[in-house]
Amino acid sequence: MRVLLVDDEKELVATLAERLALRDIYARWACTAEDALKAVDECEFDVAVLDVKIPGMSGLELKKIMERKCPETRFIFMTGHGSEADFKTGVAEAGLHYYLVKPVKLEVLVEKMKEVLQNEGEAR
Amino acid sequence: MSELQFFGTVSASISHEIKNVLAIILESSGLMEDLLLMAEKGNPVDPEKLKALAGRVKGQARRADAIVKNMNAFSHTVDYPFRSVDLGEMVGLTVALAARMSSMRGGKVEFEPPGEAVSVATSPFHLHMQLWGCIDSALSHLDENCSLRVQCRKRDQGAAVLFTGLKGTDCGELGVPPPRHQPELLRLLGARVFPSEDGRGFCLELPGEAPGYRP
Repeated sequence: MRVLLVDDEKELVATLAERLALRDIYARWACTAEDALKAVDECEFDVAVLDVKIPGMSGLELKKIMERKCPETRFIFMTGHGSEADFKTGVAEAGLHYYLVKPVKLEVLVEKMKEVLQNEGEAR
Repeated sequence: MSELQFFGTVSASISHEIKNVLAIILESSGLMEDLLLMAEKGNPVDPEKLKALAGRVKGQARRADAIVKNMNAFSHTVDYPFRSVDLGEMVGLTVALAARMSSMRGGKVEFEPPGEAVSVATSPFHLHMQLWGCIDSALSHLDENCSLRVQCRKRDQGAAVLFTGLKGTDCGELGVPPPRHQPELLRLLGARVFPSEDGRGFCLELPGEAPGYRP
């Protein structure tokens, strides 16, 4: 499994990537949409875990751009936001199972990543 | 934006930042657990790695402390309807509270504290609200690759807060005063907003004493 983690909190995504690597999951991280798209140009990811809000762009906007570049990538959203509006938007776009509120347990995230790959097309 | 909405917006932003801090602490301690589990299975742990992780946790705890300190200071602005405030501290606090909003909008805000004490007698909460509105408005008009510079100065009859680094435009185009509530807010503060001399920003001018101020 190849995973791309996108969140403006560098220490969060770097640590997550390291923990995933210890579980034999290849993970790269990016803190901006620009860096995320550069990563996508270099590698095809099976799963992208995106924060709903990234500097300069929403996670949903980034997802749409990434989908054009890499149609096979599946998406999971993470957010620290608790507003009902954000939740409804996120769930509408990602589906209830793939919209997670931070802090997320790593085991839950890994389970969701495996699930989203198994359920092809459900997250779209 | 009403006063309650403003309070809610700031509170939501603070809670989001704290969530991020907690997420980092959780993952860092999780990574320490992973490494220690590996050590139990015979894989040696690099002490420097553990030291770095412990340092990260400490750093994030300090960050959370600063966030909560700012939240506390902001929460107490409603303790008194009017009081004499250090404008430099007020502006610094608003800039800190707006850091996340600025980052999400792709903008950077730089505050230059004044070289001397600048005091005004005003409504602290409403001044924060006006300053937030000014930063919010300015972020929509930042010049390319520019940071929003915020400075405050003593003036003869009060003080001024300068917001510069914007695309050269006039006050009307900036939408300043911004949303609907702003004229009422400016009246309450006895303040006025006008374009800066270089045309690349605007100035929020405050009286030494807001109308209705009672010590």
